Amino acid sequence: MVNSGNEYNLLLPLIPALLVVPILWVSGMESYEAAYLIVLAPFVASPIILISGQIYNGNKTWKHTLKEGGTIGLAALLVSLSVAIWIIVDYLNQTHHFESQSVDGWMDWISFQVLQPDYSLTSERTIGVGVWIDSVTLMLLFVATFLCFLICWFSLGYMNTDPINEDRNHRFYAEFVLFAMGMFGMVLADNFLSLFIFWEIMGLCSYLLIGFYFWKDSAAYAAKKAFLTTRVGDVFLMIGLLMLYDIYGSLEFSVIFADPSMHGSVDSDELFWALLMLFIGAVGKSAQFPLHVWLPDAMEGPTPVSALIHAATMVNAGLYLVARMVPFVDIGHHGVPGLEELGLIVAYIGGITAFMAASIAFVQNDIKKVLAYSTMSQLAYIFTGLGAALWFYNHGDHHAAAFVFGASMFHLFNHAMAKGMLFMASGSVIHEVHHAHDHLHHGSDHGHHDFDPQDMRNMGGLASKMPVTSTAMMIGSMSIIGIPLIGGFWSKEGIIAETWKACLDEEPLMFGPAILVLLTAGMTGFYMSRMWLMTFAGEPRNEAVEHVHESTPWIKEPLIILTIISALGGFLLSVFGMIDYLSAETDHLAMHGVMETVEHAFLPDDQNLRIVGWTTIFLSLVVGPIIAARVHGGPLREGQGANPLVSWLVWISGRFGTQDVKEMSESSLAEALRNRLYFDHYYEKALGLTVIPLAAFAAWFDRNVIDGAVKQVESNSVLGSFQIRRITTGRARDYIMMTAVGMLSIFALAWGVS
Amino acid sequence: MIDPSWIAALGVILFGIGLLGTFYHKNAIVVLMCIELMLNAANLNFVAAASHYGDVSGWVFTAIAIAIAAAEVAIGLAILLSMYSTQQTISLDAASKLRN
Amino acid sequence: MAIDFETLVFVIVSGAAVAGAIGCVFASRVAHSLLWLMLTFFAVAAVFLMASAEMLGAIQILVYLGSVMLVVQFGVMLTRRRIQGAESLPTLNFISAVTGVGLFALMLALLREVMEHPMWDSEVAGAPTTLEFADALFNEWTIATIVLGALLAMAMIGASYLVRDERLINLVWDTGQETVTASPGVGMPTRRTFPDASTGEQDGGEEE
Repeated sequence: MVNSGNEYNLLLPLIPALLVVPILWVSGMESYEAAYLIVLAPFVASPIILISGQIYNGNKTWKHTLKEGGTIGLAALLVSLSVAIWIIVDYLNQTHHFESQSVDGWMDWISFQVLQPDYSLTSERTIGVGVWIDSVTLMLLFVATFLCFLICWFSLGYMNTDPINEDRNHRFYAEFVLFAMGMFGMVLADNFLSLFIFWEIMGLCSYLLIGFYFWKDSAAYAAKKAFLTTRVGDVFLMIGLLMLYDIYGSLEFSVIFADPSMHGSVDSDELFWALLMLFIGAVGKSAQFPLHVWLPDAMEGPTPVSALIHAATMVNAGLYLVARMVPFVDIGHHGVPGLEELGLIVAYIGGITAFMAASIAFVQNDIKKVLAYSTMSQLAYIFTGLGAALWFYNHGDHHAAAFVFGASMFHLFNHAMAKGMLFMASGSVIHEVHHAHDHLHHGSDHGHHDFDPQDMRNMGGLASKMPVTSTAMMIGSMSIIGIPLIGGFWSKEGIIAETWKACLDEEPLMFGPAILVLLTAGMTGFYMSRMWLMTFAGEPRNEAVEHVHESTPWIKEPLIILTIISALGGFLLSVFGMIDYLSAETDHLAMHGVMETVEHAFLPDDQNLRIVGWTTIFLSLVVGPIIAARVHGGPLREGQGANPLVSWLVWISGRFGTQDVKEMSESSLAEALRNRLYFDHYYEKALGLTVIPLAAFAAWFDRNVIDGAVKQVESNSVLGSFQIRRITTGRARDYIMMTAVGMLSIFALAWGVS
Repeated sequence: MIDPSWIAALGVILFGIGLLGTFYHKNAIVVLMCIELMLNAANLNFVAAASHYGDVSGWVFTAIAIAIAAAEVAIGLAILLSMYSTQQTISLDAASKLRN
Repeated sequence: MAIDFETLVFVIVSGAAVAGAIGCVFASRVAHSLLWLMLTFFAVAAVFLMASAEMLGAIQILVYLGSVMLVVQFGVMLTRRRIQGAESLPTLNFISAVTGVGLFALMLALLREVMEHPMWDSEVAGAPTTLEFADALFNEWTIATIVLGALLAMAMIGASYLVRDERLINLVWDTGQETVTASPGVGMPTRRTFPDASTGEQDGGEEE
């Protein structure tokens, strides 16, 4: 297609962006003073891309050198990334400007006084714009800036080579960059109000990007669905914020977190409801159980969008919000006691979603849909962990709470890296299959429309054709499954173990989430293996697949980088005590003993936890993958090579024999799962029974009562004015008479009053 | 001397009749005459007050009112003549051009 | 209370005034209205005299009966034409009837109000003299008197302007020039044309 081998000169415009941080550093600026650049750079770039795209569309330079705005967006994101790294390095080095938490309010945005019921004014209150940095912020900031940058890079290869996107890419990049700005701003926000604003910017961009192919009905529908579903959560979030404001009189983190109990004067019931409202907002954004229906449909967007928004960053916003609830419940640090139910609710929602999403993922054939359900499931793990953390914090077990909180946040990191990479890899597969199919059927439309490049039943045996992608996807899947020593293992173990600990030691009600996440570990092993095997192992099931080859380096590089991070990042960061760092147990990353870390993970002191840990490993490493291999595994065709690890895996997948699951796949349970457990169906029914009659009634009310009143007033005044116009004859004596009438009435009035 | 309140009462009666005339008559000249009638009624009031208080200002106002009435009649008749020359009538009903 | 001579005269005079006013309003012909109005003015002048305002009575007779009535008489003569009754709206007729009744009631109420007003309770000071009147008019109210003179002059000018003859021919005749063949619409003001106004134009202009 496009000879992109020598396109690296396009990266020259990135040099100025790279120079920003050194220049600022030399000029003596502190890193936190430059933090606003992280948000500002994409914010400026977005309209530039959009407007110049409108002006220069079709221009050769614009198309090939600037990649329809992609390069500009990449430069802006590079500025954000470099400043973020600068801040992170400064923070880790404990430069003296950073305490463990640092607040920098730049300016007062709104200042106002509140009129109280007794007509007195409160003292002046302000809502500022500022930056709040602690270890969770840093972690998310890194995830967001890094992944945004890589996925933008990936998009240069993915979006610009597809003819369907021709002359539309500037819209994609502008929205993409605006989204990045929303995410960065939300992570850095130092009060709940700006957090909410950036949260909504993300929601908007999500809507725009899912509906990028808006001429397709399904895309437009999916965009609407995503927007409206998250809106349900956002309404609750807003209510929650108002309740918080009612309680604390401020939305600043620094004010609220300094003493969330207000010297014990905060009513725990009221706070419980406020936090529950916030949690519902998070549930909507992170696609958890009752509000999860939008995420699978959101895969209608271009693959980079799925990678960015619906796997790596935006869905993490809900987790971030829940993580911010910790100070409220941390009774070790002025938290409010009596909020244990909140932790239970969060954990239950997480457990249910994890199990449900994993089971639905069993039967999905669309590669992106599998990943979407996997995302839901993994996010649910994190919610479970956070729920357990909230419970422990409120229960007073600070050590366990900190551990599971850190593990959850760490899982967020691992999952974001792995899932972003998995989506990009799936994008690579889809892209190449699509191109191969186009190439094969060049010039004829025959068979084009009923060929779905995302359907795994059309793939198979790709391991030899796409060595980089298959390796990347293997590592990513391993990280998600939690294969020991790789990526997500280090964090997932912590979540499951601590949830069980809560269940066994203190709170029998925790058993629900605990057993659900444990089962889900095995199910994750099954569906991720199934996806990988269906795609890469066995023999090709479609002629197009035989012509697939990896072409664009723009796609390969991010995959390689993320593969390395996924494979080694978990282990290395664990060794450096990332879990303790994220939960603010330690204030610096330091090398622990390698053996100590490994021992802690595999052989914990507690006997129960040891059983749980090994059960998890057994389920996810042995049971799930082997069942998947029995169903879908198989060797490559004779003579096809792949790199050693992959070919060994493929070979071994064929050694477990085969199992016919035709009967199972036709059972009513499978059918139900295929229909996503009928959630959409029942939601539609519920809406049909409630909202639509209500809407009809509202429409009737509007037409007949509100409009009716207006129309009555209007028609009556028209009629009345006809009558009055007949009285205004234009004759002077009539007017004199009217004057006399007026005079009489005034006299009558005057006498009547006196 | 006559009680000034009686003079004022006479003024009230004349004023009422004049007002009635202004909107019962179509003929502009009669309307003009009724206005004169009302002015006279007002003058009677002034005179009554002046007699009661022994203050000469009431007389001065009356004199001024009479002079202004003369001017007003002159202008009013001029307008009527000019209207008559264009419309061939001095019916106030005809002077309804402003309506359309 | 004994009816003294002065009261009797006042009753007769005021009765004449009211009768004249009613006659003026309800007379069927304009000329009759005018005559009834003159009766009223006479009676009012008599009332002025009875209130010791001899000067005002004289002014009333001189100005109203002497000049104003004359001018009105001219107006009546110059605009003689039957006023054809236009049909009025029933609503309006009704309203005007009600207003008439209301006015009558108002008049009665006002009468009571005026007669019983507390201002009459104070001591009657007696009427001022004509000398005081002249003094006030030319000392205290000098400016007003001067302005009044200006107003009268302006009224005269304005009245003659309003009834001026705008026809081109007459203008030419006025300035003594003989030949104006300029097409209408150029330079000189031209008479506005009214399609059915041919007869009215004549006597509109010649009356000054």
